[in-house]
Amino acid sequence: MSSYDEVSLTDSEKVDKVVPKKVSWKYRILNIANLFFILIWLASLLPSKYNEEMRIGLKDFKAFGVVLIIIEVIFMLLNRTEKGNRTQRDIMGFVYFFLLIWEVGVSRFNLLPYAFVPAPENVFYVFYEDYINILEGFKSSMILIIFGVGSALIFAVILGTLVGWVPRLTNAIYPIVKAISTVPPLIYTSYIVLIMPTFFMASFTVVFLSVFWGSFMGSINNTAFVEKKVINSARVLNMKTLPMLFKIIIPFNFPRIINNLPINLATALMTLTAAEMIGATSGMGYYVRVSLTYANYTKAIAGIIFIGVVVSILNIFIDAIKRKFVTWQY
Amino acid sequence: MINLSLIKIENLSLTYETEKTRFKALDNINLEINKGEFVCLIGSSGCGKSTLLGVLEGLLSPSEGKVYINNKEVNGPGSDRAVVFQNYSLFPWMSARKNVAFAIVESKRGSQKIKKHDAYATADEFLNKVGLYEYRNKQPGELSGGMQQRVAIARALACNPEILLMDEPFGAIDAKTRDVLQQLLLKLWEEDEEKKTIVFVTHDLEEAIFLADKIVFMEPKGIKEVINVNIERPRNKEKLLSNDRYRSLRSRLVKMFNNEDDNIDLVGGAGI
Repeated sequence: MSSYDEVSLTDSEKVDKVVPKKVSWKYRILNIANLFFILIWLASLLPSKYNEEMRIGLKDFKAFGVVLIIIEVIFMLLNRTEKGNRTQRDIMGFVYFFLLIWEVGVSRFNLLPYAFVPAPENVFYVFYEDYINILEGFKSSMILIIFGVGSALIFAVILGTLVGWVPRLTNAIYPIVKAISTVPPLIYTSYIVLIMPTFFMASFTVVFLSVFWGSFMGSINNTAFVEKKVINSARVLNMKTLPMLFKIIIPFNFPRIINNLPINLATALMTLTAAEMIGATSGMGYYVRVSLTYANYTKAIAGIIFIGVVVSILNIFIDAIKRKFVTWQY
Repeated sequence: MINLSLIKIENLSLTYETEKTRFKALDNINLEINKGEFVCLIGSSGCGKSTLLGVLEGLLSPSEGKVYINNKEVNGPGSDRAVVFQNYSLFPWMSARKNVAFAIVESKRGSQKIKKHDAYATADEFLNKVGLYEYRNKQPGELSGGMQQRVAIARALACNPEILLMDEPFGAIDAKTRDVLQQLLLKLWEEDEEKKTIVFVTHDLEEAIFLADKIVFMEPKGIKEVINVNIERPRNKEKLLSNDRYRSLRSRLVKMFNNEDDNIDLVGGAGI
């Protein structure tokens, strides 16, 4: 029997979990964002000058209406907790305000140069009318993005961690990588498209290089700055180099890798769409390029919006991965 | 004559060198620590306590001299030793349970094959001993400082080392929690049939007297004196205050500290 007092947790050791407060229905519905949402629907009831003056006329409001309803449903689902509630309302307020100005300024009063600024009804109708081509472009671009970014990250993280772990390698390689990584991939995109045998190979190489150098340099830096206490904790377990890299250094740097993923994806998409605008026969960039070539600005804007939505969805997906797998910060 | 010493430090010196500076942190240290002993290293900041512990951990290599454990020279970290650091050093992406189980598997890798299932069972057992079974699936970021150090103690003990090296483990914890953790550590140590040898670095005189069999008082670069505590176990903090031996030891150590402060160079903590 021990003579010591009870060694249970002291009050200062215990930690409480904060449960986010839910927002009442009243605040979820009565806000400025929803006011603009209703105004867009009301504006759609006004007579259209665009319909009268434009040769192609105004498409049915249904496609635009469906898009508005999808946005609103997502907004209502996200707008459930008090934290971040105001920010979400503000963001949606701006989105709806922009759509309202677009609807009123173009579809109703035709105030902007009609040849270049199509009505929202017409732009969103493209998603219904031309969805097969859009999805084909999406598929083609996504395959390149997923394989290009994925393989670049795997190589960059493994090689960068190894180089960062060995000071001699770091000293020799880091200045070279630093010089190469400052060259924007857009500069050599057309050259790579030219020298590669197929467009797929060229696009893959462009996407790979656009992500690889930055991530490689980032991994060297990350490894050099892993907290010493974590390394010492692993070293006293007598861990050898490879387990140390794969079980300690890379997991420790995982949040940084994930945090950089949106930037990497944006860079990759930018470079890929640029490459697709040069020599591709499919892809999201190709879709926009062809539309612009034939002065079909309605399709071009629809393509641009689609690329924006895809990037946003990818970022939401990355955030979800972050919330699920990166439950700690250093 | 039987040699009981488990740790033997012979003529140990360690110099930190950079391109521009050279600093001797330890100079010709000799010390023997017996099996099952609880030894506290105390002394002013920068006197070399943590450096000496770093050499025992195998994280620092001596410039001169040698350290032997079980008559084998120390050349690096080993599964015969486990370490508890001051600055919450758990792996932040692993749960408390995984931190402990991971340490068990990794520390024995090469010498013993441990199944994950067994490692988790041992982890649960030790987390229960330190009062954290309920919190076993929490990550370090979700635990308070005191709880993290409980996990660190569980992790070190679960590896079943012969020697436990502790570098100011309760230094960053509030007074009440520190008292509780000191009692917890002694409880676990005294309950263990194969009593571990503990080398514990601290600034706190009361902590050293309460915990130790032997106090090694360090002065800059070396050992000033090794003092046997000679107070019966089990110890009780409140009763200890009225113990004559405790009071005389404390006043002696305070005097030594005060003299040390008068003599100390501004060397600063070397750190590992």
